[in-house]
Amino acid sequence: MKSTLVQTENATLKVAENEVTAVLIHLKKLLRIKNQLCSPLLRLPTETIVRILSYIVEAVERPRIWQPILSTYHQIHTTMCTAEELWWKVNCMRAKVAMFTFMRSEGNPQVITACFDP
Amino acid sequence: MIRSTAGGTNGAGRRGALDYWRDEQALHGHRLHTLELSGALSDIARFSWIFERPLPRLHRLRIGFFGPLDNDPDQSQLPVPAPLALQLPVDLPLQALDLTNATLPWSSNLFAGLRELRMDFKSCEAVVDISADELLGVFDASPQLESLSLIQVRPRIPVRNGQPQYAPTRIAQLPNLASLKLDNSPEYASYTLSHMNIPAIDSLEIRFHVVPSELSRSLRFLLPNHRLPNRLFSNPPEFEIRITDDDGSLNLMYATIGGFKLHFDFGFDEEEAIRDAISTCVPPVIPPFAAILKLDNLKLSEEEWREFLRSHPEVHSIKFANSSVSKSLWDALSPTGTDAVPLCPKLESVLLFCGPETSSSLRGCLLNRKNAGFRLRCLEVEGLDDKLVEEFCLLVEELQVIDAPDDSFNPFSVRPILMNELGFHALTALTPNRNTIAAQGLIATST
Repeated sequence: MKSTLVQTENATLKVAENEVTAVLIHLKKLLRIKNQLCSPLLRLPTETIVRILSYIVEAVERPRIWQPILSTYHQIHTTMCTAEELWWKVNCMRAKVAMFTFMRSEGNPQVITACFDP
Repeated sequence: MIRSTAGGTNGAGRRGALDYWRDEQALHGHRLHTLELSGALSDIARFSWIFERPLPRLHRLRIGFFGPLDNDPDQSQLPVPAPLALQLPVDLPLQALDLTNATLPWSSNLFAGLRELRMDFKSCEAVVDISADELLGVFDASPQLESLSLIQVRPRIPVRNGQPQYAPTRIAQLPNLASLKLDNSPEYASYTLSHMNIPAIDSLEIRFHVVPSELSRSLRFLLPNHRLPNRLFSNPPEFEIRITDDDGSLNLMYATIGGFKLHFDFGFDEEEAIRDAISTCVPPVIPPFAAILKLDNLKLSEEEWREFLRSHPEVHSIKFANSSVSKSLWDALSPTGTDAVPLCPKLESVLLFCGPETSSSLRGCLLNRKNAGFRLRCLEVEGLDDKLVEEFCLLVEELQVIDAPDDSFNPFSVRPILMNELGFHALTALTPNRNTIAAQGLIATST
């Protein structure tokens, strides 16, 4: 009975150790991202999002930002531009975005909203 | 990459986006399932080319035209002189069609197979009419219709020997129609209704303009007749009437019986005439089996309330919006010496705003009902001061004090009555066995 209890305790400890290790890995990743976001070129999360979006819609060709972040932008950009399904809805209220969406959907959107109110 | 010079959010820019689609892209449209287009009548040329391409998956189509802006400071929109007759390909596989100031031939194949149809000509100067045969043709073409809105679509009522003939020539079957909205005068709405059998209806909404002197006649046209199923009236049947003000004058009335909603627009008639018309015409049409009443601004005399309550013995709940309730209702509900049983013997709960002018009559009513053995179970009240809380909690089984005035009924705004808020007399009147403060601290109870 005693040896069974010890085995159970050991197994529990092993599981706990694995979980702690996994958490540590995640924390390190989060810390790295936090450090990147603390870059003097990118102080605020909002600014980061705006920059990512600007880069994706190609409003900014060569943003002056830290290389790892630019690399991340580039990956997101490539992924989104090749995902035709993302560009399914065109709202012509924003002409530039609408044209971009038309282009990304290869002229083949699923929903078009156009309001020509004066 | 994007070579169009269009930009910003102005009309030219928006047109530019569609032009870009036409000119720069290999336009397919084979994945397009929803298309919503609106603008001035002259804008039709800007998008009519879209329909020259195959649109094999287009299920939802909305097209609307609006009048030009007025030059007044509000820049209000002027009406469209006449609807635009659209020429659309007949092979669109539409399931939902929404047209504002635009028409199709009534015999168009596009009406076939629709599940949702909305046609709105409210801001159109010209009358859009339809014969009974055309109306039946549209209904016959769309037996799967689930939602229908006809706004200022006027059926042509035949006249024989100078008399309008309201009886339908035939009745169309719309077995799936759950939502129906009609905006027209009562005669036209009633005539349209008479042509359809709608066993699945859940929501029927009728809006119309009316003058006070015509209210009684209008109600006779519009009350659900025997063909409308009972499912429009929820169980327990609830009746709601709201008379709202716009710019300080009462001009809109909403009456709801279960899933049946009537919206009356009285325009700019005199308030007194509107009140008289409502107090005369509305109470008699409230179903006698109504059990829940939601009332706002309905003001009747004591005798009128008595007459109404006598004919509605099933009422067990009365809710008022935040406007003050007339004293006459409490006087009517208060049993007199000759009454063995008070009016509304099943009345269990009342929700109201209690102003100083009504608190004494309400208190008298509750006291008399309690003495007659018809104590109110629950009183939800707003605007009660501490002294009145003490008094009222002795007259009802549950007293809920609602905090903060609100424009609507809001059950989540119930403020707890705390022990230390109750005065000495109220506390000493409570005994541990018979009277408790509810566990949640929300309700003060006494028996």
